Amino acid sequence: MLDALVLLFSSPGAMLAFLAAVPAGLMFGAIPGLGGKIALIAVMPFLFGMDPVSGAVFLISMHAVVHTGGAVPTILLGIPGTGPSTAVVMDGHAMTRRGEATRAVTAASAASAVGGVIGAVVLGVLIPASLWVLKLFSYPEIFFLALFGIAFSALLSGSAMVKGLITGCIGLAMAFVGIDEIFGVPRYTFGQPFLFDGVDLIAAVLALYAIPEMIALSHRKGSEAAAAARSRPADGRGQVLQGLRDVFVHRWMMLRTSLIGAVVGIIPGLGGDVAAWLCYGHAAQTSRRPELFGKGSVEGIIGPEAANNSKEGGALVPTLFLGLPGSSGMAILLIALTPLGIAVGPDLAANNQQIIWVMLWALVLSNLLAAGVVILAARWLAFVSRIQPRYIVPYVYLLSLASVYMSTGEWRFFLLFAACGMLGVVLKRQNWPRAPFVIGLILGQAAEDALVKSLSIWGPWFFMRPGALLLLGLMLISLISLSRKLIRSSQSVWEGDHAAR
Amino acid sequence: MLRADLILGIILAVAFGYMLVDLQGMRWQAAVAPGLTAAAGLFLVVWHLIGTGVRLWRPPPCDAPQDAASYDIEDALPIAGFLLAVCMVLLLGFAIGGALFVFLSVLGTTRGRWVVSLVCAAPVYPFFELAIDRGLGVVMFEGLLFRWFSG
Repeated sequence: MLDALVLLFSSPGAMLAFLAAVPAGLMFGAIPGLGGKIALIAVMPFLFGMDPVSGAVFLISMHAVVHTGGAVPTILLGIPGTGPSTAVVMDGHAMTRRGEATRAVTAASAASAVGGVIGAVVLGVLIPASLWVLKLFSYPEIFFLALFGIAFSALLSGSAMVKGLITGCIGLAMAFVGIDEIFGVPRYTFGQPFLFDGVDLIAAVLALYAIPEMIALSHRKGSEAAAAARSRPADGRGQVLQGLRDVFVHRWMMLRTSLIGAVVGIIPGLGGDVAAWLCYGHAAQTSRRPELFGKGSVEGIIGPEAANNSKEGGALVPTLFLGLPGSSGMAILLIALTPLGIAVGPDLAANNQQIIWVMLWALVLSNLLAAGVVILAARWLAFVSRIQPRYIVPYVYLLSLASVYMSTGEWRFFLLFAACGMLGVVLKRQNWPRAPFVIGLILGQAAEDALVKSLSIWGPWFFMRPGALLLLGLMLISLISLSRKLIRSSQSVWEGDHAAR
Repeated sequence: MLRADLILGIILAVAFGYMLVDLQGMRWQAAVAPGLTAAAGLFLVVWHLIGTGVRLWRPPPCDAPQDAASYDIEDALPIAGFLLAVCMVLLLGFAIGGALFVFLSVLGTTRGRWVVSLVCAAPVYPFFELAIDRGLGVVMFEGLLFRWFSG
């Protein structure tokens, strides 16, 4: 465990990567509309040639602090920097309007740091147990985990549940393109040799995620951020201490929301939005002054911010140990780790735990460093928030295309990239969830492999194995209880919003 | 929005149907996962189509919210920008096509401020040619036109 910390500090490349990743992650979080997934996509071309330790440290550190940076425009400008920041915007910006911006930013950053560390502790606790736990997982369990990952992300799409399940099926279908590994039969390749190895994950995922977001950003004018920035009130230095005191006063709530966030992260398919809103609801339900929620309650900032960052540690558990991404962000992280030669899954846990510990330390240190940077430099990060995203769009297009070419070396994948991009635009415009597609695409091969092996070994009743039945039961219970909690959280938020009007 | 949903649903139904037909003659090991996926997808799409069709043909209540998604020329421009990026890189490669794309894109965004556009486009060529190609040793795509000219 401590060897990994020594390795991190003794490797100049890893330290350089760490120091570069934290400001980069904060900036991607601070620019509204970009966020963690775009950050990972944008840095992919720079990973080629990096050693695995430096590359992994860079990716983890950058991705871990995006939500910390996202709190700055959310609180100061009232513009959510990342998706999960939407849970913070009402209370955060209300505090800014009240002249308590520094207090709010400090509380958010400190809660993020504590949440991030708790998420890392959860990961750390599970590392020694991982080999024992992995022995309980055979093909049927892996198949059900993959299936539930898609189902969770689809079912939590709310009113678009059927659409979510359909996009999950599209993702799965795309995963089956290529030569079948067992019999060498080409499936859905239309006779095109470049598709024999299957659909390139980078091309499809980047197109589905980055392109629709960038096209939406092209529409957005910069005036809203600038107008909000002009109304930013003066800050007081004593508010830093007040913000830190808030975090200490609400330490138990913060601890609970951090643990909820980490558990949400572990369940494949659930993202940061779920963690943030679930914990906002929990903070409101357990608060002594719930009437202040939506009007500038510091608890409404601490709860979701802690959950946002603790979720990352939890999400790394299925991603690193099973190769099953815990969220769409983790799915892209998984792809980004590929050019570094890091093959996640049971083999990584069995043979290369050192790199997992390095990632854990990077997670801890980046969260602590990011909190310090944000508290000290919130004003400058607010300036970054005013950069008009449409100037960034052309570079993201080029970097995405470069990532596709570097991973495939084949220009025909540009056409697939364009086609998937158009599909992504239509799905986004028609409110069809894209997360199930990405998770289906990534888990498709693993799910098929597990299904065929389960059927071959145990026959059609493979799901009657005790482990599979237990997993099935646990998943169904957590699915139902999470859905109910989410509905309750959204109702309490709606009621708070309604009362505020 | 409902009409577009309907069209998208029909396209997906055809795609899932094709998936099922294409599996004929394959061994069960190769066909089971795609078959289950296509069958589930087809069932869900048909379910969705029925729901959408019912909502489309039923007159909406007076206080129903207007459809959020409608397509117009404003949507086409950013999409054209993305397709331009793909075409430029495809034809002229990353270094030249990329730089030209950034120049044209910023020129369009800033309504003709060509100095700003030049400044934005300037780093693209050295980034791909010096940093990626020579620095990292990764040979980037040179473009179909250059490939064609060089035989």
